[in-house]
Amino acid sequence: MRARVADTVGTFFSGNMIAYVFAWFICGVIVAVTGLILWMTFVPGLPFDAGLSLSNYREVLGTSHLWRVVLNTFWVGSGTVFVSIFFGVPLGWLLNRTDLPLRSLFITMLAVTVIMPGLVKAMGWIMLLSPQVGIINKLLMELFRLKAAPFDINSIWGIAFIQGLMLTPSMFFLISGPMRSLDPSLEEAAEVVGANRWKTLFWITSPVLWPAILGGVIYIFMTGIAIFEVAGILGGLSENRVLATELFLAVQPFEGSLEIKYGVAGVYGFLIMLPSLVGLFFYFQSIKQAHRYAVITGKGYRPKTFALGRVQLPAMLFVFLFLLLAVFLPFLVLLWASLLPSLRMPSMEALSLVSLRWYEEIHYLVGGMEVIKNTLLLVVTSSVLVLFFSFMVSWVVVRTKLRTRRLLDTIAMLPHAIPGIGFAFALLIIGIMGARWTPWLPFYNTVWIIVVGNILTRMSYATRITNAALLQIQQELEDAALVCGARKWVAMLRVMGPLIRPSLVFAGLWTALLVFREVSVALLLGGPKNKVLATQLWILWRQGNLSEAAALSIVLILIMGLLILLLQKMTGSVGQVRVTPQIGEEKL
Amino acid sequence: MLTVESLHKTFVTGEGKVGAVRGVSFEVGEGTFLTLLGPSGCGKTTTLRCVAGLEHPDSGKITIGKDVAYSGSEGVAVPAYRRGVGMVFQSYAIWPHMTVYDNVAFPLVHGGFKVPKSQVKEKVRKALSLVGLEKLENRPAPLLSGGQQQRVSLARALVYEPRLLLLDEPLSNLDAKLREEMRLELRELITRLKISTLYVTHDQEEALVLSDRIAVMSEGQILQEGQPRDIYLNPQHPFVASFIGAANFVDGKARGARDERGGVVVETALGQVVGSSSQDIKAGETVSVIFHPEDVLVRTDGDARGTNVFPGTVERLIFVGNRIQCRVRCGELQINSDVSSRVDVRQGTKVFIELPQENVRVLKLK
Repeated sequence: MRARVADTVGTFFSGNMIAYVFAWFICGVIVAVTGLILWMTFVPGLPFDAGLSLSNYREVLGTSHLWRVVLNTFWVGSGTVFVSIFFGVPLGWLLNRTDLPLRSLFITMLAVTVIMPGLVKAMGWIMLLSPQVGIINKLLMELFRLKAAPFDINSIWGIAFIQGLMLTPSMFFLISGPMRSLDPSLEEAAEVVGANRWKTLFWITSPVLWPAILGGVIYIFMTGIAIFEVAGILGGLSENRVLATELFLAVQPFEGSLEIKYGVAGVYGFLIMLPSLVGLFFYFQSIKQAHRYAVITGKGYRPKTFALGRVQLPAMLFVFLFLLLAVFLPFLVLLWASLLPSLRMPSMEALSLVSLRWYEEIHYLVGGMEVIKNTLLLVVTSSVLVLFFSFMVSWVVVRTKLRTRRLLDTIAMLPHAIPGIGFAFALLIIGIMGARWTPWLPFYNTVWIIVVGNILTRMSYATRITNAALLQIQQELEDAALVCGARKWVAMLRVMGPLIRPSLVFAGLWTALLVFREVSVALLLGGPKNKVLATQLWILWRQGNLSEAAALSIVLILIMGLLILLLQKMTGSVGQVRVTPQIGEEKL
Repeated sequence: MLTVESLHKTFVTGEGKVGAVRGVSFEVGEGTFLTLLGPSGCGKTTTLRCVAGLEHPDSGKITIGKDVAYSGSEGVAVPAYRRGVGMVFQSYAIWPHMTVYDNVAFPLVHGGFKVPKSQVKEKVRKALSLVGLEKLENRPAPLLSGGQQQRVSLARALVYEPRLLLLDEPLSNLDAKLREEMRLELRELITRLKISTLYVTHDQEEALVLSDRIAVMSEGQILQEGQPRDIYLNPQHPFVASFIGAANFVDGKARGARDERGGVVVETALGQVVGSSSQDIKAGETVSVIFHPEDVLVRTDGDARGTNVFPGTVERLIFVGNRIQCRVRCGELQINSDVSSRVDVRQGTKVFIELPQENVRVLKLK
């Protein structure tokens, strides 16, 4: 008890209390919203009638329709995992452990594929592979005199294909860490006992990487089944129903049925999160045993690179194939479409119709000043607040010896395991309740509800960056300022600030980028008054204005490209480890 | 200048509570150089950080000059930035985004020792010339060598003329040769400035060379405090003896009363050893007999008669230039001895070792 009192006194003393309060505030919100998500599924008369029952489950589980939806969702998830492994694992190995030329450029390009969101990618691929208008389909039909289109992107496999391309970079970066830190002596030992390079790769390298790949599979699966927008434009709202689109339809009446069923949507949400909860369980297990996996690497540690030899050319082609499918093809077709009054096959006649008409009307396409204002407000406030709260959490986790710091770190990771659509749904319920009981508070149907949704979902990633940033800076650098007679805030401003600025700028801009391109949360929480650019793009497409939507998506890609350039200019590297100048580190 | 009274500090770690500092008391007189010496994890750095105000003790009292900096019972805790001490960190903690000049000027410009702008330049120059770095003032900090960083760190701590200087293993990151050079330079500088200094190190040689007084710490407690010579020649605790030099240890049982010269007679595996002790040792108590290798005389002639003379065989010889490290096997025991390079001993020679009674310490086993 004495020690506890002393701890508390010490907290005040060192001025960490502010960080502590804010860190627990944001983590409290995360826990509360997560708890709400689970609780909601048992309440039939959401959002106003309390009382627990299983009637929602009965309603949803009783239908044969549900089993088709669940099965569809399962195939979408599995297909997504398959595609992302098919590309991600070989890419992870080729770009991290071999002598493939231009590796660092390719890694940067993989990180930059983020500027092409799933929604845009899906739009591009519809223009290429839809049975009615798809350019590739038409080309093949002409070439081989086919009666029917050979590919149909409006299918479960189409959804999986696009989501797989979309999540391949995630898979790549998830396994890159383990690939790089793999102890080369394990491989050398196999070589010494006479295994050749390919045998070593097969028997030693791959098995050691299994846990990392498995972790990636769980993450991709749960992300894949929670993405709404791709399924949403690929027939998910009509024939190819999946859980995410069902949830959307249950609460967004202007798209689907007229009746809003929050409780039912809650059950769908719960089903989407089921694999995430399983993943979460494994995550907590692994945290308990984290010390066992601690990798200690000495100075000058370099993983062995594998000489590709004659396989080098096919390997290069493989990397290009991925970039072609994931970025270049959809981008080119969107660019083509945006220059034409309506989508056509490339021909001389079509070329004569090329004009910048849609770009001249861009102010109309974006939906007016209101949308631009909302988007700016969303992007700026979300990234600033995410940065602020992440910094506070990391400060407590890294810089204090408080007992609850591990718990805080774990809670900050919770959103990583729960799909954004789940948070969005819980916020929607909170918003509706708030509109009833505290109507004076601007939340429901404003841009602020989307801001909160984005803050919650982005906390996990941002805290990883701020944790790493603070860990890089020795405590003694700050202590030295205090001993010199500088107050805490002077030390923060003059010493800590300049040293962690590169990392903070990176975290802030990267968050801004991801918030800017985010569609699922914005759509679920969207109404007539809080449209942002991403939802505007969705609306244009749903209204059937393909060329207009293409023009707007090109504009969005350009804006994100500019953000990436800014990021590159201010922090020096995208998709790479950032190093702040540090001296005297050799004693570690 | 500095008084620390029964300081306590507990850390809560994953494995439970760890008592890092358990009732430490000492005093650093005006212009005195006191070293806290001990192995890593003994609580010496924590003690230093408590004095600086960077750690918050659980209880105790710290007085710097006439001001109470911390008192658990009175609820006083002066924050670090108002304690007015200078500190050199183990990692030097040179701010990498500033130049040498900016680093040293920081306490005068942004810190708690603000002086008029016109004086800043002069004071920084003076501090840099103290450490011999006046030519490097515009160099960015990351471009400094280890020794230069060390000097900048010292200049930064001295620029505002603090009443107390705290040094946390400042030499441990330097290579051996540079370390010896800096050791002497540091001692000279501090003597010249007559500044009260609290120094922390795990290197016993460093402590012996630099200090006016040494306090040997182990497991959060001070075992013995005194002048370097006293600590070396008259250890009061087996741990102090083993930590301060490569001493020989022989355990045994005290045998009754002291002999006519006031020596304590101890029955050991070596035989009957007579040594001196400042402790009150009773018959039958388990004790340790301790003596330094350089106090062991090795003779090739004579016999085993006389006090503290024992037969043995030379087991190993290591020639280190100015002396020979000689290991003599006496029954089951190995005795280390330093003999002059000119003595002619060979491996396997039968010898007699003699332990002068006044150089043999008898300590109670704790």
